[in-house]
Amino acid sequence: MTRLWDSKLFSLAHWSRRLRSPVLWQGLAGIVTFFAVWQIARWLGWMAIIPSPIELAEGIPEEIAQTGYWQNWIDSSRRVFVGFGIAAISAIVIGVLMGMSTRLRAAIFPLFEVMRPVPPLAWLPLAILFWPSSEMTMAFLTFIGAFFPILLNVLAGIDKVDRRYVQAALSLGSSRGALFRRILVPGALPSLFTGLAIAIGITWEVVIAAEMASGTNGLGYMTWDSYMTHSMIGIVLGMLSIGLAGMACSWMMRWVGQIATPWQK
Amino acid sequence: MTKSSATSGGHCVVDSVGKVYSSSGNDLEIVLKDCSFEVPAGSLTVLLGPSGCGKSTMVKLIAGYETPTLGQVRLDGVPVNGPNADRIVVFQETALFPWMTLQENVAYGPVQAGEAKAAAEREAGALLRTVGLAGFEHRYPTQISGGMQRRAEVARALITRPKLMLLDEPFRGLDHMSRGLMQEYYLKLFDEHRMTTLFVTSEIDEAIFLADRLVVLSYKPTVVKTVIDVDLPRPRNFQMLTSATYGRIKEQALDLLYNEALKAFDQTPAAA
Repeated sequence: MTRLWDSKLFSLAHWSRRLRSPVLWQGLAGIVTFFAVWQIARWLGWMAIIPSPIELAEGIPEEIAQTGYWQNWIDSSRRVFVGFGIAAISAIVIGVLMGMSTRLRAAIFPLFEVMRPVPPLAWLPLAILFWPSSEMTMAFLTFIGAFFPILLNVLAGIDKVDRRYVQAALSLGSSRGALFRRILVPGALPSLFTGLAIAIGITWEVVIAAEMASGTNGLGYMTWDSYMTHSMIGIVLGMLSIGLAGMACSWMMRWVGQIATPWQK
Repeated sequence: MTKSSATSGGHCVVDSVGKVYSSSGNDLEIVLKDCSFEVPAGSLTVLLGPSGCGKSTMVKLIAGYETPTLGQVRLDGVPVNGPNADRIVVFQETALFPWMTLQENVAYGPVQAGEAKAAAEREAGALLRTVGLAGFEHRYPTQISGGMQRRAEVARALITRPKLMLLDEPFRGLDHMSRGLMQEYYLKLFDEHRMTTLFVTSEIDEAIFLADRLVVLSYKPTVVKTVIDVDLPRPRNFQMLTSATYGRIKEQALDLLYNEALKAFDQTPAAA
């Protein structure tokens, strides 16, 4: 097992290699070009309604300094992680049970197939009526958004475990418990992490929409509230913050995935 | 691994075994038809047949992954009924668990048999060194070459001291040079352990070079065409491939195989 301290994150050599890699600089060049084009467009008088990058650079620190900005991060993150966490645990448990028992799978799968295409936000009216607080409503929607992608990937992961591994394990005298813990679980792990990475992205989409619709705080609410108060800088800052939050979560997921499956390069 | 552990038993009898698959529709595909042969205890018996004749199916039946439609497989008189640690298969493509290091892979069998993890890993490390994988104990299977994977997998099978080793075209896909080296290496291991082995291949030279007995299969419907005793002395080396005995056996086997291969060539459907 790779330990935390041995991992790339803490390796000086790794980061210095990163800094010298052209990919990093190409990426930065792309971002810089994007803002440059935006700025030039504003100078030319186009897109007058949108603040220019320079205006943003001036205005954003002030917005961030306001009380409540960081609290919005915390509020949104909390909803994401509560919904995502409950979804992950329940989807893994149900997915594993369905993966192990064909009967259970046959019983549950059609039901889920009907529920799955319903977009998380279509649950909003029902959720508002059902849950006593808007906090619970929002956590529930993120749960719905994360649950199905994780479940499907757990199932796919279990199905994809090569039969030869199961056969070899049986020949080597595996008990049922060992077959599960040492063959099926690690075999399904890469697929599980694919599901988790997809799910965390969806949870951010859902939580933002839910906050706009029924929240009183959070990054989504902040963006919407900025619109109501005609704060262009606030709108763009909200969007940037959401983007960064989603990106950070995806990175984190990928990093945890790499540590959990060290055999995958 | 205790050296020269003259493994007790391992006498395998394949008794009038037939296997029928029901493919799409009501078509029945007869893969094996009334096959009978024996793998004497302590022998290296090679199952030789053209590609697609059902050799791998035979391995699955003996391993217990599948049940014969007709007939019976017996190991030391006991009918085979499902997979068991007394029969180990080394597969065509590697079946090393990708999520375990080589050492963990090799130690897996002993740990499942109840051995303490530390002791099992020590034993696994020692065995890996004897198959020339010293220094690779903590690598994952995807980090080593195909030839190394084969050796690690043979080690994983050897360590459990099965009564019967089943090797299903284990060196297929290796380049010519590695294949020759693996064959020599494998023979050395066999001479040390004398574990009853059924080695499956479609390569005639490989078959004769390794075998005590050759069981030659026909192409569909697959039956045992003939059994040839290979009376080349052990230990063997590649010089023997030019001996008169070798030439005689090869001619005999080639005659049979050529006709079967021709049949296979004429009626091969999409499946290889």
